[in-house]
Amino acid sequence: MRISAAVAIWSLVFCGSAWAQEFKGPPWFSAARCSRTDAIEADQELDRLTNWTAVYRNFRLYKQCDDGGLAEGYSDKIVILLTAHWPEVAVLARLAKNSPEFERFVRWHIDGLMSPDQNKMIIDNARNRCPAGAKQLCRRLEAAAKKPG
Amino acid sequence: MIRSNLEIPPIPDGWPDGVSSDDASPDGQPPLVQMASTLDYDGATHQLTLTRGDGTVQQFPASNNAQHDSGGRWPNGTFDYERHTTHPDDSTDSAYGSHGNYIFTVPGRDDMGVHSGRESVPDQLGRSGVDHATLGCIRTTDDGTTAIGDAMTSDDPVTSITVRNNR
Repeated sequence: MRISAAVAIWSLVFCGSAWAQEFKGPPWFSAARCSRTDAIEADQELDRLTNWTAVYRNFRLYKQCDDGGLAEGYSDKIVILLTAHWPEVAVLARLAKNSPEFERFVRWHIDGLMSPDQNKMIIDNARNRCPAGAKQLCRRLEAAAKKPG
Repeated sequence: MIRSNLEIPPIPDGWPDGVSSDDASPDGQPPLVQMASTLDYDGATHQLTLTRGDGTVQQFPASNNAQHDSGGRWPNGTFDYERHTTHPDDSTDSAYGSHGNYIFTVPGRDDMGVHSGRESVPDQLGRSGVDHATLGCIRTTDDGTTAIGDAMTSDDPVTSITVRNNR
């Protein structure tokens, strides 16, 4: 009887929290500061986000627009860089050292949109192929990939 | 995909609302009224409905599975069409699908669109196709975005989207 009651309460709490899902977007997003021109330019730049320097430049100029379709594009490009272009992570390490907010932006976009295979690859890269001097960043990237999708 | 013609309710005086016999064309017929196409997303039935100016209705599966670490799902309401974006890598499995992102103006949000993509690529929870996660956008099928694209290049382009039952 006591077990049944506990299961019922747990179900209510769990289902209730799942139903009332809360959303929390990135703190650098600001609809008020993202002009239509910013949004259009940021989107046009998406196709050129094939290296960390380009991602950093886009972040500096357009981070206030990090929402919706543009945000999905960021996640796509960042995960591609962390999987198919892992050797370039040394560049990310240098940029992240100068801008902790940029590192947070990158980790934010290691999100539930990536495939399980990409997820595994990021964890494997961070754990086994981390360049010298980037151990702390790799640990944080691995932690980001392990967080629940 | 369901394609059907809507039943148009009878009009008592034979004229659309706001139109009287004074507005008749020289041949006595009601004047032609150019209607825009509209989109409707129902978060309860997960259906995207495109209603063309001539009353033709097309329905497509769609979802709005926004991640918790995003600004969230679309709010309920009606939102004006803003712009269309495409990318060189657009394809069935890409981030936005084969026909890019149709973006609408949602107050307090940016780049809120309707697109397809990830047809056979799973997200972290193993969902693919329309159920694949987004960071706010509604995801439908390539057929859905093809139909929107057809409307956009016609005489009755989509001018707004109405979102309901999405909370």
